[in-house]
Amino acid sequence: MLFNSFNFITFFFCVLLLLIIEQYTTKRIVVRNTLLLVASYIFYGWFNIGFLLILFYVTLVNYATGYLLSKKSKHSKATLGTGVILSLLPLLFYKYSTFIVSNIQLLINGNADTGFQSSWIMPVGISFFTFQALSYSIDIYRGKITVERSLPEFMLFVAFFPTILSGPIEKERNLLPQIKSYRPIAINNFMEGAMTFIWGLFKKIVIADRLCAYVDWVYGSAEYQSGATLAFAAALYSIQIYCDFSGYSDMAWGVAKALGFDVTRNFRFPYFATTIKEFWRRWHISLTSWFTEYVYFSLGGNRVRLKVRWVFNISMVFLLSGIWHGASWNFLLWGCLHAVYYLMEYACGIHRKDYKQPRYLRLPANILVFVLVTIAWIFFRIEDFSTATSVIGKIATDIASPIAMGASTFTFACNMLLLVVFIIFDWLLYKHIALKEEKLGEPTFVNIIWPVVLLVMIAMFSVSADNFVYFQF
Amino acid sequence: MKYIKGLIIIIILFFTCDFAVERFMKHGIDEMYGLNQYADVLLIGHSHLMLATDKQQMENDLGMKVSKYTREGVNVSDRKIMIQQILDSGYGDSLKIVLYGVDLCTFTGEGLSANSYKLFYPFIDDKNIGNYIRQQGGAKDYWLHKLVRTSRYSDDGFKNGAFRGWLHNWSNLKSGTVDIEAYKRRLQNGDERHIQMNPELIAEFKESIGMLTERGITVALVNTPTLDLLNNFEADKYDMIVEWFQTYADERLLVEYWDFNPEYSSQHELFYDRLHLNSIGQKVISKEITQSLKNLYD
Repeated sequence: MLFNSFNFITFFFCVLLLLIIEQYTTKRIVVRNTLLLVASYIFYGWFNIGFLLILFYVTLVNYATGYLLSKKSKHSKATLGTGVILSLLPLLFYKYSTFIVSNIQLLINGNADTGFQSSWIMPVGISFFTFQALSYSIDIYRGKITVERSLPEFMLFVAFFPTILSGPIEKERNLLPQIKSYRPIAINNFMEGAMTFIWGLFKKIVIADRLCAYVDWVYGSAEYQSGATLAFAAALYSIQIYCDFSGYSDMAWGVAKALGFDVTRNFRFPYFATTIKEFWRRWHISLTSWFTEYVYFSLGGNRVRLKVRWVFNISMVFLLSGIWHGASWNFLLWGCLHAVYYLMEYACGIHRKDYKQPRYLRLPANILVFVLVTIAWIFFRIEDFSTATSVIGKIATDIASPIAMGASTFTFACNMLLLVVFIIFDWLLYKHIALKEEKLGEPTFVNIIWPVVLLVMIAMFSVSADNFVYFQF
Repeated sequence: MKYIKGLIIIIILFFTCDFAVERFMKHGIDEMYGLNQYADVLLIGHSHLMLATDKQQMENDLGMKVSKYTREGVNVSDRKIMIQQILDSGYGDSLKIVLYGVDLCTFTGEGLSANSYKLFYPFIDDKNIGNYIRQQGGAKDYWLHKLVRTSRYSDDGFKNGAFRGWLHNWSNLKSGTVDIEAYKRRLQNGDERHIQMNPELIAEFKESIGMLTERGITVALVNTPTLDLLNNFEADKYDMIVEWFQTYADERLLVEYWDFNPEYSSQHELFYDRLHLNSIGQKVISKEITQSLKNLYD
């Protein structure tokens, strides 16, 4: 059940209706949370009923770990370690087993082709809900939060349907208190949620999915494409993946908001960043925050005596972030590249507190960040290392060639026009000119025109796609 | 209360814009395909005939109204629905002749594909087309496109058609020339479609022609040129299909068969690719078709 499907819209309005009925009848938090929990399990089980077992297992492991940690025994570290390992087992099996076995075989036999192939379908969103559940156990161990006694409420925290598939990865201290307090359905929240959902839907099915067709076509025949075409496709892929993932995140935010919940904003206009550091503060914020809090700080963060140790800490965060996306060398390389970018920026003194970027340098810096990020996305998009390097080589040597437009010139023209429209809208949002986030639900003139224009464009320009890029992670 | 008012205004405004945009697009589509005029000549076919005929040139030369209802990828079964649509609309009453595009692949492939009904979304308000869409696509698909009118134009082909309809631009924009050497290599690899005679498609074809001739409308089966290399790929089968069309036309009073291949299929400079003519080819063949029409009426 994808957010951009009729099944989901029907499902969502059924849930909303039930919650409204509950609001005007029992008005009890237990009933409300039970409804949301059942809805969340139905939503997740819709993909594959067997996935519910994994979800329940990860939930139970972390609930038990939290309970044991709350006893404050001297074996807390071992308890947490066991909890973390047990939680990660399904993730390791589904996501990394083939990669690990084939690379061990490569080391031993010199042959990666082992015939070992995990024939199991990877549960969608497994990385997201596993990390969300783990944050609870680690926070209890660190004494940041207290144990959650109610299993149903903890189950809802892990399985909350707006966020389970692709995040944002919520921390217990943000979501659970909201689950525990009665949050009535309100029309202003619904409006605000609907507006954000529509914007996310536009980004996903109008921009990302249309660009996807072109990018797939170019990369599908990369050896026959000119350097300029490959460069153009790489830039479009940067926008595609942003619109795909941030579109999904906006939809998730909108659904949660309509139900009365405030979840983390996962993206804050990352392509307007003027440094790589700023980019990572704006891109996939919940994952960056997770790695910062649970990996970087655990390794000592920047409070280490040796600079080389800090370099190691930063590199580890980026490498793990790469591996989190999948068991493949290209993701590792993508993480490496970002680590290099980050460290180079540091070496240039850009991260110094007293560094102030001159105004005239903002646009060139913005373009440079976009170019660097785009180069890294090439390795992210193309699994095969030799193809990725040949693409970059061709871009470097053949950039002055014509750009291929694909099968239809009209479709290409439409895509470019929509891209311009999207950039203008995004810029207006970024500059808070047209829409102010805090006033999204207000029925102002702009807030009325905005969804109407978007809805008409969605109806006319959307293309049907049955997946989100980040579902594979 | 102000939020509810805002929500109601958004809904009303959306459906108003939706209606206005759809009317705009529908007018463009009708202009493009000539579905809002009483025409003397109707062209029915896919991109092969689309790129081979210049509607404006034909109208000027003939002094007759020409409707060009040609769409990319429509097979024999789709065309039957297109013919039915024209005849049901009332605009079919003025038709004197229908130019029906045929080629070596007319009977290759399957009947209506599972998604063929999507080609007719803009015409969903037409009773028969509406029923067809509901039958094929299901109630959900039908009601979505019935209620959200702009969603009928989500396919870029429709938007392009509406756009060109408003601009009255029927010209062939393909200016390149077929790469003969590349195509020869492709043929050497055997990478080409095989000619078939699918009985289901033959039956649909015969029904379509019957629908027209029983109303006294003359049908010309127009085989606009395809590249000689393609025609020779399976020469025996190609000859067989040409003979089939010729015999079919000879046996019927109101059916003609015009084949422009013998004269033009070897003139490679007229082709954009193996199947389609470029803008120069379009001018040449349009003139030939106009001449054939004049001969028919003289």
